[in-house]
Amino acid sequence: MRKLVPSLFLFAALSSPAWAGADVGGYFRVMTRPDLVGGDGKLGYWNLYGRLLNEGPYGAVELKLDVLERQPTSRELWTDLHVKVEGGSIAGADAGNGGLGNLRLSQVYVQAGNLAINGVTWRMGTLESNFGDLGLYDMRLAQVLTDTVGVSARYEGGVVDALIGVGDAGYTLRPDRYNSIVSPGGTLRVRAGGHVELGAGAQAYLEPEVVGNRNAPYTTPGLSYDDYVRRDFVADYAEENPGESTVVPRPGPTSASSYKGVFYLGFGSLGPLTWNNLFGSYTVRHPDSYVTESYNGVDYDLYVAGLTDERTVLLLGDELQLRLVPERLDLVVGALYGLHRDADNNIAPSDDDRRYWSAVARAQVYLSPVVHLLGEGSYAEERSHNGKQWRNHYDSLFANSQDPDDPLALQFGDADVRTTIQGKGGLVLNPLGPGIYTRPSLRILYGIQWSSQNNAFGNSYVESLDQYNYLYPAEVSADEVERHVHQLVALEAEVWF
Amino acid sequence: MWPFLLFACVPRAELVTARAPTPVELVVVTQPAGSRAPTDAPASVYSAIEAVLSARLLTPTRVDSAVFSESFSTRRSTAQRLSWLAARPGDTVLVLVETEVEYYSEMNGRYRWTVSVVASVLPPDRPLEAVEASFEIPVFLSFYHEREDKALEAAVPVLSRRLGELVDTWVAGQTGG
Repeated sequence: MRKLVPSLFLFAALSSPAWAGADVGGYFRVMTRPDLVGGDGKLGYWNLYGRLLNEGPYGAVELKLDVLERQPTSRELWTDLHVKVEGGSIAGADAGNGGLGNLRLSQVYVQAGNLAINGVTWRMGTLESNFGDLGLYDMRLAQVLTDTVGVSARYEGGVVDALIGVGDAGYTLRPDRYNSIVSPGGTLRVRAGGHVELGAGAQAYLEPEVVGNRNAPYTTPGLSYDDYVRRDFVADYAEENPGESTVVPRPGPTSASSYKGVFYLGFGSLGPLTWNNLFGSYTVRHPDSYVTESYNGVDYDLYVAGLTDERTVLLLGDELQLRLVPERLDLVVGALYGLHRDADNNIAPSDDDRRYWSAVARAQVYLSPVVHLLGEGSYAEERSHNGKQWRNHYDSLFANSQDPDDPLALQFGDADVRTTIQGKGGLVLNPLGPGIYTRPSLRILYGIQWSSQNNAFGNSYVESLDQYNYLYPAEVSADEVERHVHQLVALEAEVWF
Repeated sequence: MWPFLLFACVPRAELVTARAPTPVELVVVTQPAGSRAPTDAPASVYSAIEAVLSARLLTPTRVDSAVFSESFSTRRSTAQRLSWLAARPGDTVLVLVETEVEYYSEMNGRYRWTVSVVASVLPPDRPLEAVEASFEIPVFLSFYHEREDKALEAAVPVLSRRLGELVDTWVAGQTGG
């Protein structure tokens, strides 16, 4: 209900006469993928294997109201208001069933142009800037200020575009534990003719020390990464220090900072090469604030800034779009590499300490302007840096408990590598004609995945021995229910408007 | 899957064609941002519009932008422009397509543009028989460097459909069917 009320208020506000002259744009994708083997309707776990069949439903509506309309023949002041509502749930298509609580008011900003400086667009509100999209992955690697509310100025010239902005990223990074995180950033893009573009950008996050603010960065002394992972620091401390009335050492205040740098190279419009986008980003992630442990019925907040300040993420992604036979055959090839490091963690498998890469290729054959055939294949490899993260077999837990390399028993499974291969294909109807990214698009697709991991897709399979004994017939042995292959048929529609 | 293929065989709506080949003068105007002088539309847009007209037995002749650019920079309403075109010698039917392309925003990795179109068909000697339609076409481009011309090209499928409907209306009025 707490989420529902703002949503209802928003819809009521947007239906008022003041919005009568607003333009509406948006995006929707809706699908049904009956999963007859117990999955949740997605072929695999995430977009590393290509977004197709691995994403759920989504909707976005953006309203744009010209307060002072931009006149194409004039350099007079103009201003507009943008409001965007989006979310990943549609009635009947996912577990959220289209509930308004699944939507969020993701962007609200006012822009003004030709204000004080001609050619500069000022923006106040949510800030977002990126160098482009990896369409096959639905990822935007080179983006800055996406998490910041503040003010920015953008200059767009024929050769050079520049953006500079500053604001507060506290509510995005710490939604329930807000503390101000001042965040300046900017980008620069240089264009050489119509064939090459080069861009770079950076963003910093500065969180000051605020003594007495329980959401500000602190570090609890004596808290090791082992304690942090196991959540047994308070119990151990109380055992080692019997009789002390305050069992947790007093945390020390500190400040925190982090940053990211982004890079972009685009080239194309040459023969069959429509365009190639290469994106990169390097992020030093902002430290977390605290975790809570319960001991003897009392909750204790343990501050972890010092244990989460050495997490880095390197991402590289490339997408190549080729028009091999005009109006007959297009090909898009993409690749993604990710390297996540956590220098504080040398003991437990984690999504913060792994590397992965994948390649995806999609071809679309145009039988007619409207009727197309689509084929896509992907190969992906994910590798854990801190031991075994994935379960290749139904009984991997038992095997792993005997592992001499894991005396702390922090590993999750029996493999430190997950390999995934997917193939997808089917019929596409594009009323507006050829183009891999032309929308609207109506698709009937078949997808198949092979993964080294057992049950590598969202599912509702039994998770405990009790459930197993209850739901499996006695004559079915456990090794008969190991699944490395997953198949789906999908009916999908996707539209931009 | 096979039932979907039947969509490829669905017959198209019958076009309304002129009784005999009819010459028309075609003017396609694009208003660039920040400039008073309109420019020519991309060649592919011209070609698509010519195909729409030819399919209805209208024979288009392009009017070069050098002819109208200066006059249209001061005559910015459709009525003023039609009036100026009609005042020129001759009584060839005029087809004026005015476009304006405006950036909307970046949405989920795509760049949304709005193409506003005002299309008019005017027989200079019978101004009361003129027909006009105005509409907006949202288009989504994949790349930031793709600008107004690309947006206009991306709008061609819808522009052709809407212009065809307008021309059908006018031709039907001439032929009585």
